[in-house]
Amino acid sequence: MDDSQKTNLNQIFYRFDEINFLLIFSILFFAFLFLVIVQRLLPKVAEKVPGRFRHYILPLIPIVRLFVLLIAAFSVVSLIVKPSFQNFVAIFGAAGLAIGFAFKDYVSSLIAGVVAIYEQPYRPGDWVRIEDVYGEVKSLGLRSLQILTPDDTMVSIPHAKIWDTGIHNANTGKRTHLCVADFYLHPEHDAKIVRQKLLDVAFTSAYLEVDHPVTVVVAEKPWGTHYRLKAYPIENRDEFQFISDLTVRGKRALSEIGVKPALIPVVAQR
Amino acid sequence: MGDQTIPIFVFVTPDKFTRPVEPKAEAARSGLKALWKRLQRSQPASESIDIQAELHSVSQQLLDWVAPFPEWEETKDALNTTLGAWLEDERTEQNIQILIGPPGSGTGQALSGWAEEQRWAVINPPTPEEILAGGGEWFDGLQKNKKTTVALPALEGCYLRHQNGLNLIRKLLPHMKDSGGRWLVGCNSWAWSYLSRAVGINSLFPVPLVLQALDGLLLPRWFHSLVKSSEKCCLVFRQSDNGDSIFSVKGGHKKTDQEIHSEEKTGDVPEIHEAPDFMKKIAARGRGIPLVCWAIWRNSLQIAGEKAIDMDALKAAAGDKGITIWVRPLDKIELPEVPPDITRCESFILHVLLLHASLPDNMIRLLLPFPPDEIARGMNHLELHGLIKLEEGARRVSLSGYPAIRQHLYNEGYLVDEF
Repeated sequence: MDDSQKTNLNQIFYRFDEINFLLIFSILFFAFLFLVIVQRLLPKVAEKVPGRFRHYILPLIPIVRLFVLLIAAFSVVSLIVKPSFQNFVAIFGAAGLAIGFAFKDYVSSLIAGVVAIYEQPYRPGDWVRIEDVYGEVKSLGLRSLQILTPDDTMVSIPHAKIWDTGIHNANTGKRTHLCVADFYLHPEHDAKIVRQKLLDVAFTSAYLEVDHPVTVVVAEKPWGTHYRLKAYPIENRDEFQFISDLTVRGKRALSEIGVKPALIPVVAQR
Repeated sequence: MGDQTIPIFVFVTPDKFTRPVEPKAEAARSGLKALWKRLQRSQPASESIDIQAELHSVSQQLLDWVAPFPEWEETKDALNTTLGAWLEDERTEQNIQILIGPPGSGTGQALSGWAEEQRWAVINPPTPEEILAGGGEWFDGLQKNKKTTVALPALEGCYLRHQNGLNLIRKLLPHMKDSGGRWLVGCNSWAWSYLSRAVGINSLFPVPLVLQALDGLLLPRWFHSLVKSSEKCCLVFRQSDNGDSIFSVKGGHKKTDQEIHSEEKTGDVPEIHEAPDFMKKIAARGRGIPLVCWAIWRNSLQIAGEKAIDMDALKAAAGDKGITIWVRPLDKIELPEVPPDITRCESFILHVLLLHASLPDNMIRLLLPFPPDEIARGMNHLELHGLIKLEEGARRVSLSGYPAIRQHLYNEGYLVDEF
């Protein structure tokens, strides 16, 4: 390294003996500690507080984490780099270029993570489908989001998916989302009676959120009649119990009025 | 007590209903306390049992003397006043009057008593099994009834939240409308909320009436009217923390029910121009619902000397003639609370009980989508915490636990009543 290069580096960085490593270590330590606390404590608080506050607390987690990381990064850099506009541009530009080439996908996910916090295509507590994965968003990391599927499997998906994949969000921050129970019936029946019976099944479900509409969609098919009972549960997490409850009681109610299920096996068709 | 001529009980339309509210500082304090309890770990069950034992440590005899179960005479008077014009108007097109009330409002009991006194036909609801079977025999009996004045004090007993539980009420509602006779119908406010959404009951009938909530001024008047004063005995109710007098009852001869009633009517009650702070708090905590406030009031009573009474309070009571009944401050009263570890099944049990006022165990098992063992465990847990109780073979939510239960169900997004 010649003298001119040394001079340039000295203009950008503090001298080694001028850098307060103890302070840098402390900042990194406390930022890490704070992030761990936020990541672990807020979800627990969200579980404990009344349900109506849950969907306000969970989305705060990634925002708080992002702020803490930005503040920590800026603080550390300002302890190493002499604070001037040119220096910061030079440092962040060089670092960005190097990291961008080496970890293109990683950086893409990091940027997508920031965009996801701003645009909110998903938030913790939302029920989303990304490609073939469906479940509840449990947490948003810097690079990826974690989805808990109904089969109790945690799936990690990089935020970069938002660039080129459709995000299906069932509730968009709300407490409830539409659930559908399907009934495939033999065509010989009084559709009016069946529809009323299915409405009663939904209205008498203990899981039902009664202030949302309950509807029955009927479609005649070559093999019989397809009924779709659409209703909202009190809580998103009740989706599968709710659909099961509608199905179990619906089958019993239909059987009691002598309506038979369709005889021909139905190929997944809606 | 302000204007003594103002009746204690008044029926109003729901838009005029006003609920006594807690002072803001008190509300913030109790809100933070509740949040803190939720954030803490679950309390062991044994602690809850101790609380319940402590709640009943005061002599039952004393409680039945100074705060006996009401006989609803004032509510019947309110019914007479409210329904007078409707009953006299023979040409009115409105043949149905609905009275709704939250659990513990006493509306059903008063309506039933009033109807019997007026010699109206009083219709008891069918059994749950009859409802599930469509209520054929019960409904046939109703159709054969030739009386032109009919009272149905518990409409909530005519449906079940079951896929076959709405058929009867769908037949009953048009029958009531088209029968030609006069109908006076009582309905639990929770059932009213549910039936409004499930069968549109609110759009079928005229605007219902509801018992106005009791505030801090009306409550001591009502509690005073309940006391069964015995010969040569005065009672003074004082707060045990500061000695402030809440109200007193003059001694004399043993009062008959009629005398108690006429005493209230003529305003022969002590003058209190400003609501005692304690009564304001009870009214707010009990949502102004008579029996809920009454249950809290009973929990707050204790006999002098039994517990530590503040010295200043004892000095204030030194000149009392008769018996001093010490009243515990509200923050010292252990009322049932919803445990932080309450399960989904237990919340469903509480909700279904409120929607139906009361249910036998087999019906709870039928209506809820949980295994019988889990329901049995849930009921034991709720009973342990004083939130539900078994009365005459059916479960119902406890009066003193009602405010906490309602708040919990509201927080968790369940359908709640309007009052």
